[in-house]
Amino acid sequence: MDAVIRGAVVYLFLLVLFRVSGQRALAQITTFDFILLLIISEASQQALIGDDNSMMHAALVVTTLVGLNILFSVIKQRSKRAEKILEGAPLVLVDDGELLRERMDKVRVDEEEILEAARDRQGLERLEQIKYAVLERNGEITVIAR
Amino acid sequence: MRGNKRSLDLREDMTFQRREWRVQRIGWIAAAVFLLLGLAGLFGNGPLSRANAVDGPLHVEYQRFVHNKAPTTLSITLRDPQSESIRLAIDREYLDAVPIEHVRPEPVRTGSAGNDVIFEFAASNAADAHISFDSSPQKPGFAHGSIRLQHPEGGAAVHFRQLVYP
Repeated sequence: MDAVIRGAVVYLFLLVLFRVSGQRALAQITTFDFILLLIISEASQQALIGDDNSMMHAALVVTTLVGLNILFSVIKQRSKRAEKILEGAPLVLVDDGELLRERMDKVRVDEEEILEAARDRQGLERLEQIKYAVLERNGEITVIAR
Repeated sequence: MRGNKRSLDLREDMTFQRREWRVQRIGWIAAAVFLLLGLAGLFGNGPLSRANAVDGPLHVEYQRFVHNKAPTTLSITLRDPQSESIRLAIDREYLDAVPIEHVRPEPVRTGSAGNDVIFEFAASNAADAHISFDSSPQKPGFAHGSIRLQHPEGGAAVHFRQLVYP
């Protein structure tokens, strides 16, 4: 009983926390994001395991986590609204070459990050070469050249 | 927006997006409040958590908010015990919820009397006596404790309540 409750509580808590912190929270943009990921997993591991290190406990916890993941994927498949709530939606940041500043401020993305994505993904050199840039649901910026 | 003219096949929902940003801001505030209350001690150690229960010479310092299976300490001070021995009675129900792991100093004797567990300590007549009970709560919820000083010339009793977070 304990294992399933622990798994579900930690899963839901992390889900809410990362949705609230925004798309880019764990996009692994910088080295520090990666370290943060490691620390968070270490801290939540304690809450998941408690002081029961048995195989059965681990099996129940892992099954709870995977089960919830399946459940949410089914819900997302059936309801577009639930999908938006659980995963967010992609957001256009550069529309036909024009930077949408207000949106960029809201999602805390600056021009340099869009240029970085443009260099990385498209080998673009200048802002004028970008037609569209989109902040995807996983926190990455995708770029479409002119 | 010029969304309709876009060649990009991407359906945006700005109404939803704005609502999401608003909810996120509220979430940030909630997280900040959570952290501040955590610092203040509402969810564990901290100024809000430290508490005292006093009755005459018996003085008990405890934590109002403790965590399940995490160590906590009851510090007991007896002002001027005027006796060679100190007998403390702690109710068994509390000890079931929050079992004691170490007692400093070691009691000379422990025993059971009805619903109480009795701890007897050696003391010096002149000085205040300090006794620490290191314990670790074993079930979440409220734990009600009572500690009684048994003394031939009238005792003292304190009651306290701890919230054990899961």
